[in-house]
Order: sequence, then structure tokens, then C-alpha cells
Amino acid sequence: MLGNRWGTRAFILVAIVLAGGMRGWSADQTVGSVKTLTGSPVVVRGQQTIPATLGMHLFEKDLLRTDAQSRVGFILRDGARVSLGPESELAVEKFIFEPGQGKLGLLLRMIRGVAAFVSGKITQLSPESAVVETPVGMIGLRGTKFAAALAAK
Amino acid sequence: MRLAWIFAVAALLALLPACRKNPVVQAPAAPKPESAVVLLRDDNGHVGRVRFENAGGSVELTGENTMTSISAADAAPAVPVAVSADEIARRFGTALEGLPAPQLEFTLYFDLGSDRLTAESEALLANVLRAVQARNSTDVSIIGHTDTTDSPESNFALGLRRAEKVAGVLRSRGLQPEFMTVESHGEGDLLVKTAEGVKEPRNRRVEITVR
Repeated sequence: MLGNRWGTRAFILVAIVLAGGMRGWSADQTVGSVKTLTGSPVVVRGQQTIPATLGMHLFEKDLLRTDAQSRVGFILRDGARVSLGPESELAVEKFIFEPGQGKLGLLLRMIRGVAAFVSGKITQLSPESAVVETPVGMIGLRGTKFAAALAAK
Repeated sequence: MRLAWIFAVAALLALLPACRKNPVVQAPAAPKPESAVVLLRDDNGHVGRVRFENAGGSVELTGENTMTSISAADAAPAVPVAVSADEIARRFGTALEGLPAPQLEFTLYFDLGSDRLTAESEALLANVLRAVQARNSTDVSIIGHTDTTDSPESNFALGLRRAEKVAGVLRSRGLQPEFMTVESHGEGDLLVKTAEGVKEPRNRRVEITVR
């Protein structure tokens, strides 16, 4: 009986620590959120492939992918906006937005398809630290709105 | 002899349509699809700048609707050319149409040394909530700031108290806590630059960003 009670307490304690830790993690690591969507785009996160949903939080290293019937648009924490047309793929490789500490960096990796971009505060504060990498070269963002289409292989 | 001429002309006329047709048939093979980057005018009417660089060289786009084409990672990007709105819509339209609306920013002001909102700012909270609803926002940043009246340490604490106060009000009016991030920049990010120890109402603020 006593052991059971302690077990329950320990379980609650662990649950609180976990929940607290997870909440902190999700709040601190969110880099943006999905804002526009057509069809059934997906987010590839590590080994998982998750259907993208409106409002879904995005994290560093997330890869967004659309099929022929899908499109997806998202906003990053620095106010930058990105949208993908059909049959496109793009990953948020790096997102660092701590203007107070002077830490800024954005690396988007566009793998295929078509994408539109509007740069945000990272580009505004430090134009040299925002880049879109593509299979045919690097796009250096000096601001503000541009689009890229990659030739199908 | 005259008959021969007639035959020759007839034969030429018969060939002519074929000659005209041939280049048309071959045309689709000529422009092989290339990758491209185009610079556009933004919502504020501003045209920025984009640099494209690869192993073959680099170009800079500076004009509205100018586009560079790239054939390969080791081939120099083409000299930028102006392209029509139709061509932009055709090549980039599916992506451009899906661009989300820009984030919205609100600034709320506070009384000296306290986490009490000014009356005008209190009224602004309704606009913040409307913006969150209209945009279905799941990502709202709340950052507290202070003036330089007190020490940096107590100002950091005061900035956090202000941000938490605002977050608390928004929560009580239905905004989910997991959609909010709350932080303090203390006196480290002054809206109006002042010396240490200056009372400046415009620095006593909470900035809310609705994405």
C-alpha cells in the first residue's frame, strides 16, 4: 500500500517534470507555423512523416513536401513567409532568431519544385546570414520578395 | 520547257508548308527547362535585392520582375532579364498564391514601474484577440520591455511581469497557453534610446506579435 502510494507520487512527479520539459521544449524550439494549405502536404520530422495541418508548429530540420495536388505556406518566427507549390520540397535547416543576443541565421534548403519567399527580420537585421540553398546554387537574401523554380530532373 | 517550270513551282509550293511546319514542330525541344529565380515587388511596394551564386559564377537581381535562369550547378547563372507578369504567374504562380498574410504587431504601454496597462492599451487587447481569431494564429509572441528607471536586473523582472500580465489576460479571454511564448528583454531593447535612469513611457511596453 505504502509502496503503491510512493509509486503514484513518483509517477506524478515524473509526469510533471516531463510535461514541464516538453512544454518548454515546444515553446522554445518552435520556428514557425503552417498558415496556408491545399490538398495533403506533409512534414517529414526525423523518421516520421506527418500530415501538415493549419496552425501546426514547425521545428528546425522539418522538411515540407507537397504532391501534385498540394500546396503549403508557413510563417517563421522572424516574420519571414514561405510557400511551396505542387511537387515541391523544402527543409528549414537552420533558424536562429535571438536579436537580443545578436544571434541570427536562416538556412532553407529547397530540394525541388517551386517556392515563393518574403524575407523577415533576420534578413533585415543581418542580410548576410539568410540563405536559400538549392541544387543549382545559393540564393542570398537581401530582401524581400522573390520566387524560385527548380527544373525537374 | 514551260511545263517543267510549272512542275518546279508546284513542287516548291507543295514543300513550303512543310518547311514552315518543321521549325514549329521542333520548337518545344529548344527551350529546355531551366531553374530560375525572380525578384518581385513586396506588399509594401518595395523591391529588394537577391544574389544568386554557384560554382559557375554569381548574379544580383535588383530590378522588379527580373529573373535569372540557371542550367546547372557549375554553369554561370544567366544575365538577369525582365519577365512579364504572365510568365511570372505561369512559372511561380502556384507558390505565390499560397503566401501567408504578414504577421501583425501590437504595442501595449504601461504605467511607470508597474505591470498596469494604460487605459488605451487595455482597450487594444480586444484587437489582439480579434487578430488571433482572424488569422487562426497558434503562435503569439509576448515580449516585455521597460525604461531605464531601475537596475537592469529588476527591469528584466518587471518586463517579464508585464509580459506575463498580458499573457494572463489573453489566456483568461480564451487564448490557449501553448500558443503563447512569453519573455522579457528588460531594458535591453529600448524603443527610444535614453541614458540610464530616464523615465520614458514609450519604452514601458509589451510587444505582441501575432503570426
